[in-house]
Amino acid sequence: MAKRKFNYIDGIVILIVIAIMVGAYWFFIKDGGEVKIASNKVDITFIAEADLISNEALQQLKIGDPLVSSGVFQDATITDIVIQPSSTVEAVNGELILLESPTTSRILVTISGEANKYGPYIDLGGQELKVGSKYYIKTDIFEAFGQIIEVVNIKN
Amino acid sequence: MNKQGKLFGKVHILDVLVIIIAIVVVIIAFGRLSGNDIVSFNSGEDVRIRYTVLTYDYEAEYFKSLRVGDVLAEDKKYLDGEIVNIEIEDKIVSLVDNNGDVVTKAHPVMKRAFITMEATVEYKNPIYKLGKQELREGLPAFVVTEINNLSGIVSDLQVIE
Repeated sequence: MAKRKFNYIDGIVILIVIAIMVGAYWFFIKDGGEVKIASNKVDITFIAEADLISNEALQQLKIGDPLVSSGVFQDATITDIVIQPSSTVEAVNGELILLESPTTSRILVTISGEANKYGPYIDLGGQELKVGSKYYIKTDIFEAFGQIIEVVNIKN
Repeated sequence: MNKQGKLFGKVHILDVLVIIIAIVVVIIAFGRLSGNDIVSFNSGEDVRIRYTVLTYDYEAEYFKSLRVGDVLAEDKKYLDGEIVNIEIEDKIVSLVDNNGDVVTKAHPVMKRAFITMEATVEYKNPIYKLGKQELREGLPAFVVTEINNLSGIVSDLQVIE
């Protein structure tokens, strides 16, 4: 059998593999000396809002509805719903007042469930849970795009 | 170098290049993993700063989850920084009313907050960086903690150490 020679292409491939391994170690483990990937489950309760929801669509939203994400039910349910009229601010007779919409509403939906926590990153069904983050309130028959406005409780 | 690309008729030029690259990669990897600056890329120095972000307008509920002492974060890691002060104030708006008069008052719903943080950041001339975020007065910035992700503008930045 002919003796196979080690050529520079082999060398480059080995270098690339080493670089990828070092890069992966650096990215996932060594960053300021802290191990940053450590996932665990947490029980979380948070409030998400969505505005300009038509009053008809609200009929589909109920306490106890399980949330849906990525085509599957998540381990989370709606535990409270507050409905307020959508509003805009107008100046009338020297005062600022809220003009309420008769046809659309702002909803505040409280959701409780089990989320994945990776360090400071909390994830439920692929959506990051932080106050100020965009959030889809989604059940099997209702969906609204809004934001998280409050994290009420987290328990490990 | 001869026609076959060999130096001194013995070592191929590509082999030499590969060996040089390998040595550089090993030195860099060792330096980064051991924390020693064997090869310097002008990685900058750590400085302690105090900076304030004036948030954009939010409803009051958005600020309920903010706490002094909350540790700053980015993606899946904590950063060496924390919130040291929070001041929430009304958003002031001016509108013309039905009589044609200008009304300047506090917005009935919207607030904004001055969130002051202290953090150890990397100063790589001329940029202060906290994680991936560049910090400079007037620059948009995110205040990210375990449960908050509010955005605003850096309104003040001081080096304290």
